[in-house]
Amino acid sequence: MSEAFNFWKPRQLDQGQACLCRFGQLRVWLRHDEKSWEVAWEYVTGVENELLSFTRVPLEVVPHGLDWKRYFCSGSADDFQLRPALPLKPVALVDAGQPYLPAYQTIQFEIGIPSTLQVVTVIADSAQSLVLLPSEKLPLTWMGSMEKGVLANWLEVQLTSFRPELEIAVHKLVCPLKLCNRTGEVWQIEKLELKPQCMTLFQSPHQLWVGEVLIEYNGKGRNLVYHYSKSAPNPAANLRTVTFGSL
Amino acid sequence: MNESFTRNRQWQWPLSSQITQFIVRGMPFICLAVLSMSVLMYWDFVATGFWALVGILVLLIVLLGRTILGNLLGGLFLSMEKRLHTGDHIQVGELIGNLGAIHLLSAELRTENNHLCSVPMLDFLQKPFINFSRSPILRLDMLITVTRQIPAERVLKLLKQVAWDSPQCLREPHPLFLLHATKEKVVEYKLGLWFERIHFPGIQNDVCLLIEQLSNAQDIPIAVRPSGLHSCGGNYQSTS
Repeated sequence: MSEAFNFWKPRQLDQGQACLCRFGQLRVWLRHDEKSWEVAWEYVTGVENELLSFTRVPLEVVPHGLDWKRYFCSGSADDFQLRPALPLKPVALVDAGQPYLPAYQTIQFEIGIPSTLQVVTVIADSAQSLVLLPSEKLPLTWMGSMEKGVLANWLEVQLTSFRPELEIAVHKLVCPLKLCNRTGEVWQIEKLELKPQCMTLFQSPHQLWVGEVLIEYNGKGRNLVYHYSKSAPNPAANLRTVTFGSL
Repeated sequence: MNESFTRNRQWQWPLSSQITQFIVRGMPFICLAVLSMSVLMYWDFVATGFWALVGILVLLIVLLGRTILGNLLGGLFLSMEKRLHTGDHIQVGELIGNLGAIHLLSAELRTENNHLCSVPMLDFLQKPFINFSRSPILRLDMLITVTRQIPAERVLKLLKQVAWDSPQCLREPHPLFLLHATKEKVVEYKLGLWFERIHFPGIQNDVCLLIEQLSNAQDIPIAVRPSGLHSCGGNYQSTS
């Protein structure tokens, strides 16, 4: 049983205890008091991307100066669970290398999208969501027209066919991306817009995945066509859809 | 039972809030006119009463001038176009603040100094008017003054770093880096950063502190002055 698989299991935290969850750059501190949970989080840059751990810590070890958020619970929940979730905002994918795709060509990549960590308390069969936290702090951008655009996360990636670092970036969603040029002209790939609400989340024993995204180019001045697959991506084995009880 | 109760509660007034407010505010004037007419009619001076009323109205318009009529029409125009909503963060001429009550001839504006100002409706049409609440993103412009001895490349590089390092600054629309004016001893640059509206006005402090921090680190003496706020997307801006 892998560490990643254990990370998502329900855990118990008794009253008066604290714990630290490390999820990539994200550090989540949890404190459990009578009928309330306190959550604090911080982002630590420049550390190991593959970090995924859960540690119970004495209250004395919890650093001062954290910005705690307190959540009251009606029941006496001592269990909580960390759940993977899709990104909260759309993602604007940008490759600074200004790649081109020749006429009638199709190419497939795998990219890593920072996922979201959901902290829920569990009482019997029901769960209460406390907070949703992006695993990585990304810059923001405005996407679409000035009147009807949306705020999106700005994600710079390098579109390459093999990404060995993805295998260890446990806090990232591995997204198979297929680009298809349906025209006789060269497609200059500028900015791709991914909508997490259309994606399906999968889990392997080691990593988190989303269904394949097919992007079709139908000529200059025409919008790109996005297809979001709901089935498990082919290259990965032992994938299962991530589902939890209703919140 | 509960469903029907919910349905009843969901019934909505068919007219927009602006039109409703206009009718409510205009009702006393209409009632006054009808009452005057009725009194004169009661005395059997129908024709005389009608012309007397017309005469009074013309006299009022001439005496009180075109301003009131202009404000009245301005208010009607703004109501029909739904440009104003209570609580909007707006700028009219030099005044910036949150819009309070919208009356027939004027609107209340509470400035950042907590001054309650009455703005005539005509001002919304004649003076520069920006509704920041209609735009989800805003651009904060800052004037950066640097001595002429500092090469422009160094300053522009620093400003780009400010835009890159500021967590609230949006990657797109692209930030502005402009050489604004060259004076005898100093050079002025304009830095324009786009950000989400909810970060205003705190972002002004964050950016100023970041500029100070980076300029100290790179030994570039800089003076910073915010020079304006711009919006986009659903923004109504009219200039005289």
